[in-house]
Amino acid sequence: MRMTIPLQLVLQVLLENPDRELYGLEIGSAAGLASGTVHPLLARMEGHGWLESRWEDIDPSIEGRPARRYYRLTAQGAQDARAALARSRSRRPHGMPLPALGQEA
Amino acid sequence: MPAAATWQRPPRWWARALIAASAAVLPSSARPRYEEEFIADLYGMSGGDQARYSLGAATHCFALRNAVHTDNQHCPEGGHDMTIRAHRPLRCLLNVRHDWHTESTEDGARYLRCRRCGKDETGPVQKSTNAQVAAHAANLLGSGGAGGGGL
Repeated sequence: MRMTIPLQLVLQVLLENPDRELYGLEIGSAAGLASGTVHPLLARMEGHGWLESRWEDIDPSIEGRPARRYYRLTAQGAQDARAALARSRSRRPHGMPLPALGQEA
Repeated sequence: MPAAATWQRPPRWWARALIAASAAVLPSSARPRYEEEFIADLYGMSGGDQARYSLGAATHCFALRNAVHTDNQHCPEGGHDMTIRAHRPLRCLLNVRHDWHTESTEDGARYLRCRRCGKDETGPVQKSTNAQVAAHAANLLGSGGAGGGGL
């Protein structure tokens, strides 16, 4: 997978707590990315086996909204993502940092 | 027993319409999932946020289609990443010439597939014998049209 800046931001968000499940909108806001940017990345990661997703188990009439789709890194995905992030950091010229999380990339 | 909550602000009709239009370009297998996911995200948003969200989904719907399409094209063989390119060459797009080669499914069935665009010669993966694949390939090469010499 090409390690674009948006992908690295999404991975940073997911790697902050790999066991935590997040939904697409939440990932986008934490990474500072628009929803349209986030979902193709999530789909690609899911296809590569880095992510797994499931529908939220709620009763919509109690919550007052439909179930959300939650994403979480797989064990292998977390390992691969850390390695890929480290590789891309080492390639960044003069250790140039990524945009801070929550800011527009 | 928890009391029934009041429903959060539902998506506006135009936001739903934009999401439906965005989902319409996705493969049919992925369409309901993403439509429901986007609609669920829209609940509780202000009108402005709904507009931003649904326009974002609409402008990136082809990227999502490519991502979903590409994810469906992983080859099980070899255990390495054989993702088919999302951008198909013109000759594949026009269906003029493909680079056919033989692949097998996890249960051993054989089928023909284009190396460049990932198209299956017989649509979805179908079970066929080696002899059938060989006959089919010979037929394709003999006709000189679609055969790309990949066999």
